[in-house]
Amino acid sequence: MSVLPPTLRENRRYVLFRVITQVDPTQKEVYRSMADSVASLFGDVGAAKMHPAVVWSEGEYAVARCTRGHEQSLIAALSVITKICGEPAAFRSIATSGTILSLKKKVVPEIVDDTTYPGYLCAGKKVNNLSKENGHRYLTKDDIIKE
Amino acid sequence: MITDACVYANDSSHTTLRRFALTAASCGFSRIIACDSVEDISGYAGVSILKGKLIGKLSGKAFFDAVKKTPAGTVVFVQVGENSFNRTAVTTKGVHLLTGIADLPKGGFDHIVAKMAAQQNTGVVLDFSRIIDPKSRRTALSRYAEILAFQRKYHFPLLIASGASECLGQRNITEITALADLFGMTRSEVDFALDSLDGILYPKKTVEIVEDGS
Repeated sequence: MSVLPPTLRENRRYVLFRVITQVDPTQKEVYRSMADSVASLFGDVGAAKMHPAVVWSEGEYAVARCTRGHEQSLIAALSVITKICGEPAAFRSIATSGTILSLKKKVVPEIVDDTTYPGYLCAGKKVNNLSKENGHRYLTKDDIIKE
Repeated sequence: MITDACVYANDSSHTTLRRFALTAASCGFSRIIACDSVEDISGYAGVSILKGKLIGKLSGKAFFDAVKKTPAGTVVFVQVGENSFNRTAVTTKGVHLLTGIADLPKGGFDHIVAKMAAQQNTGVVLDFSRIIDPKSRRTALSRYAEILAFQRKYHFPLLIASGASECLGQRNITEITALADLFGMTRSEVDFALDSLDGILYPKKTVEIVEDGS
């Protein structure tokens, strides 16, 4: 199959987003959540026009692709996702661009420091309590000092 | 100040008020209103925190008593109900905001309530958690589109709230703009709605002429 000339190719936009959840989802699971959300919000016709896909994922960051002009709709679809793999989650959109490379430059990985407070997952000021008895709790370092 | 008009940091929430403020800061907000919060914090991580009180559908005297008993400096929210109740709520002194628009019965918010809200400078809160929830999404989108049409005609203050009970429910400005676009709200309208709380809490007064007694 011959490659289409650049003028005939579909114009695309890429959206960088962060998956905030307690599990570590694969790229396929991220795509499934996104595809379900796009279909429930815009229907099959909207999804076909938008042509969504997850093209890159590393840690809690991922890049989604869509047709140019549908970025706003893709961000709306990402923001209504509340669960992934049965766990509570939020897909937080960070930036939109025409190239994947420029989005990768915007990735700032959070340094997890779990040695300071045993039983807690600390990243900067944010602290997540992962103990099963209380369920997930979302605190700050100042809250722990207070406790 | 860019304000998230309502987060629920109550006892049942697994997120502390400080964490709400921290997440709000990372989402681009400079102020949040904590409804029915048990903690008493005025600010954290550069985000100022206002106290809010939600008053449900109460009858006659009980409603007025609840508004009167609210301490000064607290933002008063009233859960909307029947048309007659909404008219009373809008005209009651001390009521700042109407909320629960997605659950509004048919004809609950008409052009007369809209006109009254504009005259009394009472705001209407659009709770975005109702759009995120798939069960209430359709109703919320159609109600919000109706409210937006009234707002464009009568110019009452409109506010945007995440309505989050966990920090995962909070959304950033880009996401709010995208969600607002679903029911036809433009970017400039979103910016205005995020910044309209000061106009409700500290309304512009007409110039008073003070006569010199001597």
